[in-house]
Amino acid sequence: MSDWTREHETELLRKISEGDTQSIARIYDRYSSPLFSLARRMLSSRSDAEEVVQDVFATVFRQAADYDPSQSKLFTWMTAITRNRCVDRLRARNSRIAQGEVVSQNPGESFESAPKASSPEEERGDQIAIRNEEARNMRETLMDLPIEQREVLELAFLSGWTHSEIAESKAISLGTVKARIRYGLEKLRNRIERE
Amino acid sequence: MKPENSQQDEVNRLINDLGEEAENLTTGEVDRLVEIMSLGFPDEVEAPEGLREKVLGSASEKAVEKPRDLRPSPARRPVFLPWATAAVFAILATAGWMKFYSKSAKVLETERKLVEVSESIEKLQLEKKDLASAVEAYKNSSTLDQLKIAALESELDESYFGVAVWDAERERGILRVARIPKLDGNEKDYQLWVVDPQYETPVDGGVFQVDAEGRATISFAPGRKITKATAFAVSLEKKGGVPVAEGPMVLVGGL
Repeated sequence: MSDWTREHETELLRKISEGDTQSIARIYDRYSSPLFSLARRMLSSRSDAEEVVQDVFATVFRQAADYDPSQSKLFTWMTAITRNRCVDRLRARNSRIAQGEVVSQNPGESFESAPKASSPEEERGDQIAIRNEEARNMRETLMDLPIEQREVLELAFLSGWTHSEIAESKAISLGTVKARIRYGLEKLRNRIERE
Repeated sequence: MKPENSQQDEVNRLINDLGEEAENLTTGEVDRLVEIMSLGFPDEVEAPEGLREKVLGSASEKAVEKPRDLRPSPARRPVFLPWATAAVFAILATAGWMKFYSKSAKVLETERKLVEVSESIEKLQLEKKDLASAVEAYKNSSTLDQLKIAALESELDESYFGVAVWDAERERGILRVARIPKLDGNEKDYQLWVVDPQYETPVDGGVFQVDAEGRATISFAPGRKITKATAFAVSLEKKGGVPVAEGPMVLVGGL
């Protein structure tokens, strides 16, 4: 894990741009599971999530030569592609109402309803365990937020709802939505600064 | 074909969707925030077994073509003739360009200015038309008749004061408050409420802070349809606001 630096990622991307499939395999092994998990959670569909992850890697493969580590980490870029593709699919499905019902039935309890970790025989040992440990830390950070702030952040990030859509769904004003997101991000930012 | 989004486009879209506050984050903070937001929600599950083969298979197919594009052609053909031909064309083209440059540059510059001026005129005409339409609509809508004004007072302190102007037709309003205490720390917000008898509890009108002199002016549009606003209130709530008023009422006033 320790040898995985931004420089290392940049080097892998350079090799990918020259057609080195071993490098893309290394990036796949590193990031496919968190990206697949994110897509599956957003789309609630295993097959759709698979398609999105394929699309993400194809995009990275095509644009590897243009990767600029000063703009973002590779994981940030790949997560952004994954999230944006999922949002596009959700919009295409035109199933916002159904999605809203799912989210609003148990606001703030979505962690409990998240897909559970796969069985041990499906996991790739330590790598998954370490990342799940990291995820637990991330989750603790999120759980520190008041439920109202966490909920609007989740809707904006994972469901791709606009602030107006969140306001309408939650029967709160647009100003309140913006304020909750702002305060939520401020808290996360303070937490990041303390790390 | 639609051009593919770049790395920055993809990251910017995610940031923009989160809101203005996210736009002020540094690159490092965005990286960390994305980790928290993406890893913090779901428990991680392993990607399906067959997916690796699909991704790498697709990558291999493209890799067969990619290096071919990057490598120089292995054929060793004489390269002088094409270069010489290109050089001759370049010299001729440059000479021709130099000859006509001064004249064509002036013509192009004039044309560009003409386009700019005509675009400006067109834009001004459209703005004038829009303005005229808005004025006409305003005259016809009897908007002034729709405006209601409520004076807000406080039982906590007589000096606290507020005025709410409510546009019933547009279901939006403006609240101005004065001399109410500035909130210290970062744990509380003032929250505006609109009372409509059709709802059991007042409707959220948004949260706000006041300046050092206790003043604030906010425009608000409640999150629910307001059929008949009968009163406005301001309460002191926890940061970010609450769905139903919990804190003390700071200002109250009926229409």
